[in-house]
Amino acid sequence: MNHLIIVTVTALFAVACQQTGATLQNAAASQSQDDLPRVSQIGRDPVHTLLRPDAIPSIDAPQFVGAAEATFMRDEEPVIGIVSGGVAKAFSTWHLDHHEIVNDTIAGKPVAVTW
Amino acid sequence: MLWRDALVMYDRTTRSLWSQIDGKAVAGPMKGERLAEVPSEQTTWGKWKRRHPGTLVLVKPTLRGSPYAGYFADPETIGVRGSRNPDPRLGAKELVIGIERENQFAAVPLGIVEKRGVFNTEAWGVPLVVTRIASFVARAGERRLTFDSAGHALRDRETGSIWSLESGEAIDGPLKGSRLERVSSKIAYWGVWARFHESEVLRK
Repeated sequence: MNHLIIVTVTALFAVACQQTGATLQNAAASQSQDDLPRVSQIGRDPVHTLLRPDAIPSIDAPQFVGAAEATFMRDEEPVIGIVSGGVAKAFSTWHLDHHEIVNDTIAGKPVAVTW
Repeated sequence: MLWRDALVMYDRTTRSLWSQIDGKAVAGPMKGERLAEVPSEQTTWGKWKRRHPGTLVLVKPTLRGSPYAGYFADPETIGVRGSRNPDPRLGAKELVIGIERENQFAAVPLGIVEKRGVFNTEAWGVPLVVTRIASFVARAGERRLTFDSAGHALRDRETGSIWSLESGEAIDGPLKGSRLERVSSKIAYWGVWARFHESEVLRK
């Protein structure tokens, strides 16, 4: 596997769906438009599909600046922080609330930052 | 897509489905595979940039808060479907530091760790030191260690050595050059963590 992942606080995704006004659909109906695996249950637990894939858009070409230029950040703003290969990066979770996933490269490694 | 009240992602290469909680593929060609985890921490921008002055930060619009503020404020509801707490040892919405080592799991209420700063504990017979930033096996070779906070680092009571929270390496003192084994440690809602892992709950 050449993909890496960062796992953080979860259970937030659900609320975004509510706020976009999506209604609950059953998994089979909503997935008929794409080629993702059609699953309504994994183990003993149901899978719920509330939005079409990519309805919450990931960030695929992330841009970064140094701290001195980051006038858009507030000191009290919550972030996910990563130090890897000598590089430190911060991701505002207020921003990730609207995107859920950042597909990034850190120190040459592909990293998915998820929220 | 949601499973056990947690995000399910897909990858564009194989179109497999992945659970965010443990990075495992739950359906599709990659089913059963697990992504490697990069350690991360949750903090505030102000604290992060003081500790990491050279940090980069993701460019974004200026924002004033989170659309999830109401979700945080409601202690009962989990997810959109009003799931029940799977394990009443802790509150469903209580934040925990979920710890994993060699397929064994434990959870520490985040409040305990924040109150003490450094939490010396034991799970599955293994001594651990848990902090909000990172967690380690509290052992150097065969020697068991107990830690206190030392600014942005740890100091062990047994030798007085100073240990980096970033790398787990002793950067000063008699054990300089030794390295602690890092354990996976992440903040999660108890009500979600408990649905994924059978976990010891550590309170002392």
